[in-house]
Parts: sequence; C-alpha cells; structure tokens
Amino acid sequence: MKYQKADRDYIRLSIAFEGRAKQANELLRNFDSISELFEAVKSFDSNILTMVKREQTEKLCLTASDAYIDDFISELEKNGVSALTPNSEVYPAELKHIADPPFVLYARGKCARLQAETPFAIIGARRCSDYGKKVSAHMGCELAKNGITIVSGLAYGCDSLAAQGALSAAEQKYPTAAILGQGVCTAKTDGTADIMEAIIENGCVMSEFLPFTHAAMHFFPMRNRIISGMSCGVLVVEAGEKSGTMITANCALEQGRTVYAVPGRITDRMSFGTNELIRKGMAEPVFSADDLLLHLGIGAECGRKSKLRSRGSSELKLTGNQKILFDLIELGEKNFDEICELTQLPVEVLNLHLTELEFSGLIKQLPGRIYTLS
Amino acid sequence: MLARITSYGLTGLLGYPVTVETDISFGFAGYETVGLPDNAVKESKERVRSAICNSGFPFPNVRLVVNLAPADVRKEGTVYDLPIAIGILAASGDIDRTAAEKWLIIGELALDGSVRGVNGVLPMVIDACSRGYNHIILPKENAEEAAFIRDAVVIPVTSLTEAVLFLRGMKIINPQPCSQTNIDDNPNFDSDFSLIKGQQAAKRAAEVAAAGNHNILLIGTPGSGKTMLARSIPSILPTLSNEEALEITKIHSVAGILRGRGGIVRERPFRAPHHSASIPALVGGGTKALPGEISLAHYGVLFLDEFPEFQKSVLEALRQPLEDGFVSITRAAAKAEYPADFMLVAAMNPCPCGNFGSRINPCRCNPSQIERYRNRISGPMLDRIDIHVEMTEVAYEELASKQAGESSTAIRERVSGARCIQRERFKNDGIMFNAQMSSKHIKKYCALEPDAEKLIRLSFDRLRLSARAYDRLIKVSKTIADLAGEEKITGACVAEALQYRSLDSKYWSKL
Repeated sequence: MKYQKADRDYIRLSIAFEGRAKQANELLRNFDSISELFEAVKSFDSNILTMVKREQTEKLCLTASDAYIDDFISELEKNGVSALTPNSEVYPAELKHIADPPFVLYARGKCARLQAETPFAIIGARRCSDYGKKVSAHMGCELAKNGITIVSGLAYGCDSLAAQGALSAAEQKYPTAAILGQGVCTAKTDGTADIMEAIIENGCVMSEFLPFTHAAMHFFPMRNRIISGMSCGVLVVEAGEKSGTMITANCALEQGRTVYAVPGRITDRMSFGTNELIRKGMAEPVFSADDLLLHLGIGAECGRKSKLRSRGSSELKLTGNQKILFDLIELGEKNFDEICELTQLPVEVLNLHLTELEFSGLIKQLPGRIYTLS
Repeated sequence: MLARITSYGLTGLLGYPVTVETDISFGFAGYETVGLPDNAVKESKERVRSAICNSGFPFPNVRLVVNLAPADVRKEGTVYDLPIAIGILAASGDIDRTAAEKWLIIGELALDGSVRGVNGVLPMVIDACSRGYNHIILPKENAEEAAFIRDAVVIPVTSLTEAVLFLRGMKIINPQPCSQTNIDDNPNFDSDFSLIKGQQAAKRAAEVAAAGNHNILLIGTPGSGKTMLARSIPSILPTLSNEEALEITKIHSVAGILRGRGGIVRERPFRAPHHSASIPALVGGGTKALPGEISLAHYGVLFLDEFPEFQKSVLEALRQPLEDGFVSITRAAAKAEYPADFMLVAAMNPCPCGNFGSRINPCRCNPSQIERYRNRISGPMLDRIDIHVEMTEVAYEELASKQAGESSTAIRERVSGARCIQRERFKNDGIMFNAQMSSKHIKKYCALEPDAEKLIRLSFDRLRLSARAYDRLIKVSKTIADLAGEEKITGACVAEALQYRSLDSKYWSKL
C-alpha cells in the first residue's frame, strides 16, 4: 500500500496521540490543516506547548521525522496491517461525518472491499442469554446472505456470535468487519481469538489504536462510536439497563443512525435495555430478519413469519413422553431437576427421551443441564 | 543367662518375625540395645526400666544386652517395649523362660507399667499366623482387631504385671473371642440418599457410578450438594466382604488410624483430603513409606473436593494408581506396596466464580477464565473419569418437600445386583468391574442392539467423540444395562450414558 503525504501525517498524529482522536482534534482545530500542524512542529513553534502537554509535544517532534514514519510503516507491512486514513479510498465513507472520526484505522484482512458494501452493526451484551445468542447468530447470517457487511465489536457473547453467523453465510464474499478495543496485532484474551482469525481470513478487523496496544476498559466506549459511525444502522440484540451496548445505541442515535432493537421478555434482565429503547421510541422493533431487510430496502415482504419461530409438538408429530417433554420445554427453558419434578418420570426414562429429542435437533442442552428449544 | 522372645516387625503390609534376645552377663551395670533400632526403639530403654521398677519387679543391676534379630533390618516403632521387658525378666529368672518363649509378644509400655496399643497389629497377626506363630500376647487396645483372625489365640493384657502373672501361670486370661462374625449387615452411615432433596439426575449418576465402580466428576454451583452426595456414596456401595474388611483394616492399622475405633473396619472408607494435599499425602510416602489417602480409600471412596485447586502434579500422580489399583512406594529406607482400588469422586465448580450455568446468580467470568479453570484438569485425567454430571442449586420447593427420596438401602440392592452380574462375567478375566474393561473386554462382552449402534453412530457425528470417549460411553452403557438386567446394550442405555458426557461435548466451552 502506498501512503501519500497526508496519510503519513495522519499516521503521525495517530502515533503521537495513541489513537485518542478527541484530543488530537482539539489540537488540530488550531491549525488550518494537518500539514500545517506538522510544519509548526518541525519549526519548533513554541505555541504548541500551550496547546498540548509536554510529553505530547515531545512525541509530535519524534513522529515528525520521516525516518521514524518509514520505520513505522515498514513495521506495519511486516505484520500485514494497513493504515486507513480519511485521505484513503477504502476509509469507511460514513465514518468521515461523525464527530471526532479516527485519524487512522489500522486494519488486517480484506479492507480493500470495505467501500463497496453496506455495513450494518449488530451489537449486544457479552453475558447474553441463549435467546440473545440465537438471535445474534441468525441475524448475522441472514443479513450477510443478503449482501450486508456485519459490523461488530467482537466481544464474546452477542458480538462474536453475530460475526460467526455472518461467517457461516458462505455465499457472501465479505461478510463481516470487527472493530476492536485493542490493537489489531495483540492477541485476544477473552476466548474470541479463533473468530478473529476467521474474520481476518474472510473480512477485516480494524482498530484506531496502535497495532500492539493492549485492551483497556476505557478503550471500549471509544471504539463503540466507530461501530455505529461506520454503519448505516445498528441492531441491538440484548442489552442490560446500563451497559456498553446502551452506550453504543446512544452513540448511534447521536450520529443519526437508525437503531433497531430485538424485543425481549419483560422479565429478562438482558432485555431491559432493548425494551427500554423501543418504549422510548428510540429504536425500531425488529421481529424477523426479513423485517429488517425490508427496512434496509433489500427485498423480502413484510410480516413473513420468522424462521426462528419454533414449531409446535403437533406440527412435529411427536408422541407420548417426547410430546410431554417438548411441550414443557417450549414453555421456557428448564433444568433437569425441574423437568424431573414436573413430569414425575423416572430419571432413566427422562435421560432416554431427552437424548432422543436432543439428537433429533429439537432441543439442546445448555450449561447447568438446562434444556431449551434449539 | 539368655532369653529369646519372639516379636514382629512390618515393612509395608508384610511382616517378619523379630527375635528379641536378652542377655545378662556379669560386668559393669549397663544396658545396650543393638540390631538397628530407630529412635523409638532406643528410647524403649527408659520406658522398660521404669515400667519394670514401677510394676514392683527388680531391675537387674548387671550388664544387659538386647539384640533385635534379624540385625540387619531397621526396627521401628514401640512394639518391642513389652517383649524386651519380658525378656529381661525371663533372663533374670523372674519368669520361666520356656513359658515366655512360646509366645509372640507385642506392645508399648507406659512408665507406670501399663500396656499401650500399637499400629499395624492386624497385618502382623495375619502374617504371624501364616508362619505358625499363633499364640500372641498383645495390648488389650488391639485385641479386637487381632481376634479377627480365626487361627490366632490372642491374650489381651493391660499391664506388664498382668503379662508376667499370666506367664507365671498365676493368672488366667481368656483368649479374645474371635470377632469375625461381627461384621454388621447394616452398617451405620452418616448420610443417606433419602436425605438428599432433588438432584435426581446426580443421584442416578451416582448409582450408575457405584454399580460399575466408575469414577465420577460432579460439576456444580456452590451449595448444590456436591459434598453431600459424595458423602452418601459409601452408603450405596455393597457391604464389605470379610476379605475386603480385612484388607482395609490392614492398611488402616499400618497407618495408625484404627486405634480407638474398635477393631475391624466395617464400613467402606470415605477419604476427603483437603486440596492442599501433597503427593506423599495422597499416594503414600515418608521415610517409613506409609500408605497415603488413596490406599486408605481402598475399596471405598476417595473424594477430591475443589478438584481443579489440587496441584497439577498431585493429580497426575493419581493416574497410575487409578489404572493399576495399587501403588508402589520406594524410599531410601523402606519399600512398600499398598493396594489402592478406590472409586474417585471429584467435585468442582463450573467456573472460578462458581455460578456458570446457574439461573439464579449470574456468572461473572469471561470465557477464557473459564477455559483456564477447566484446563487445570488434564485430558488424561479426565479420560479416567467415566461419568461427568452437572448439578445446579436446588429450588426451595424441593428443599421443603416432605416427600422422601429413595433410601440408600434400596439403591444398594440394585448396585449389589449389578456388581454380582459383573463378578460372574469377569471371573476369568482378572477384573471385577465394567470400569476396568479394556478394549479387548469391550469387544468380547459389549454386544450392542441395533438401535444402540445407530445411536452411537449418530452421537459420533454430533458430539465428535474421540476413541477414548467411545470406550467410556460403552462402559457406562454396559453398567446401565447391568442395572436394568439387560443382556445386551440397548438404545435406552446408550441414550442415558450420553447424558453423562458434559465435558466431552463442545457445548461446555462454546459461549
């Protein structure tokens, strides 16, 4: 990748501020353009000292040297990282219009295709319920099948499942992009490392932080603005009352993006956030993937039944004990002891029928021996 | 004058006769003990002198030499106090020598002349009887334990005076009656399955595990009753046979945990070492090569609570005994082989915070933390545990329900039945339980019904089972079939066995 002078200036700024776009922007406002800023730096303009802290000034001076930037760029190339700046063609177009857009997005994967697609964000809680997992994966897959690029934060839970769902849509060539709250060359430590590898293979992983930055708590709200900023809409699958997901949703609204929310049961803690968004009219409720596609103006008719809707036991032609068990689990997930208590069937009989139902793909077992419809 | 008294020594569970030779000769007054005595034996000098004096016998004021033969084996412990005292009195003519030399004598002396109990009496007596030394004088404290051997004539004594009077023929002490018939048919257990509310799945899993002697891993949230279930498992194991009771007692006797519990061990042992235990504590060791927890749990249950908190090296050290059923301990000063045929019951939380899978308390761990926690248990170790069962907290309704569960006695009967079938089946194979089957035995004995085969094939694709997991599945299925009295493994058996595979399937790690 060829970097022009403007690109190199943006990279300089990104190194000096370690990705903190807001502070960098404040400094930049004092100058007509970014090149002017570095002119001032090179001429040791003492005015800069009044604008930023001393360490920052030192860093700016350091990055102003061409040799330093050349080194940095060759290091990037060695690690397969490309730097996207607002000046480059592949920089997400929508992102340029938000407040404090990132100066540089460090990307791994096939970032060259980024411009050609319709990006759409799917976000949700880390500790999501099984319902959240199911919906995330389903939505990710269905949207990707219709040519939409899924943008997510690649946290475990809803985010990574949406990404996985998108990756499973085999026909789509560029199914997903992930925005990280850490450097793109730092290993993920929360159990999503293999998904990240798969995304680099088929999509792209991006971050505004320098490639070898480690994750930190305060980075996540910062990357949230990019997730919503580069997407044409945001789907909130599950969110607690006060959560990072809600921050992203608010961010999206401020940026003028349409927010969609998956309604949940009023008793579910992880649906408080989404239901609240719908109640306040801040988000459009989504009842199926087709629903969403229609909103996005891509095919499908409204009101079609969701493919996620479960079929009843009579539709499935179940008999005897299997029907009893299926009907029971259909009413809500139950653990083994509850099933035992409610049906009063002997344990060996229950074990038999539950395995049968599990193998026929109708129910599945969750940690804690909880059974739910699959 | 010379007196030769027979006593006994032990290495591991094997004994050897020790001749205590006492010689009195003229010369400067003195007392020497030779024949590789350890400190406890050397110190016997003072105990013996005081005991003799305080019992009112004259202590010979001459040159005394006590030799413990064979002289090249290290002698340990306090069993030689009484034989040395008797030897001194016999050598000085206070007791008839020929009368004293007929008996095998063991016992520790107190300074006032009373006799205290010692460790390892049962294996000594068993060994001594097999070598023809069946007239034994020993501490009253150990009498019940020793009298378990039919051939032995056991004279219990409480003091040196009593022993002397007996040997002089001035007091009649009746031999301890044989206690072999004393094994209780209904031993008392502190815990019973009927006291466990709810947890039907776990109870059934425990039953299957007990029937086939499978090792079992209980995974559950804090307070879900893992410990209580584990404690109740001995109550559903079949009652001990005489031979089994004897073998357990031998080990417990050597370890010195028998005293004050009245003779023979009648209940299956339940050992629950803390997770800070070291390798020697668990496997056995020390300078004397004493048995560890796994040998003390022989024919019983070894319960390892907080399984992942054990040191990795300690858990790995368990692998070989789990396979072999015995353990050889070698130390510079001692070598010993102890049986260690136990049922391993391990318990662990599903994640560091303990609440993963709970619907009441949300889990606070992230996936990599959980994975790291689970990885503390190695694959080879997991491979030796046939049954994994998950337990969740019990709802209040179940706790409060008056309805009593099935009692341990009823379950025990089924378990005994299944074990009977297995004993019959494996009588020519040198194994006893389904859990011990090798691939050869599986091929020979585990015929599958067509529906079972279909289910296994299906599970292979769905759960991506390994070859080892396959063996495990078949073994557990076979035990379930035995419990049901089925000749062949049916689909229902396999279906149930598939429910005990939590850690095999991918779903546990997928979040």
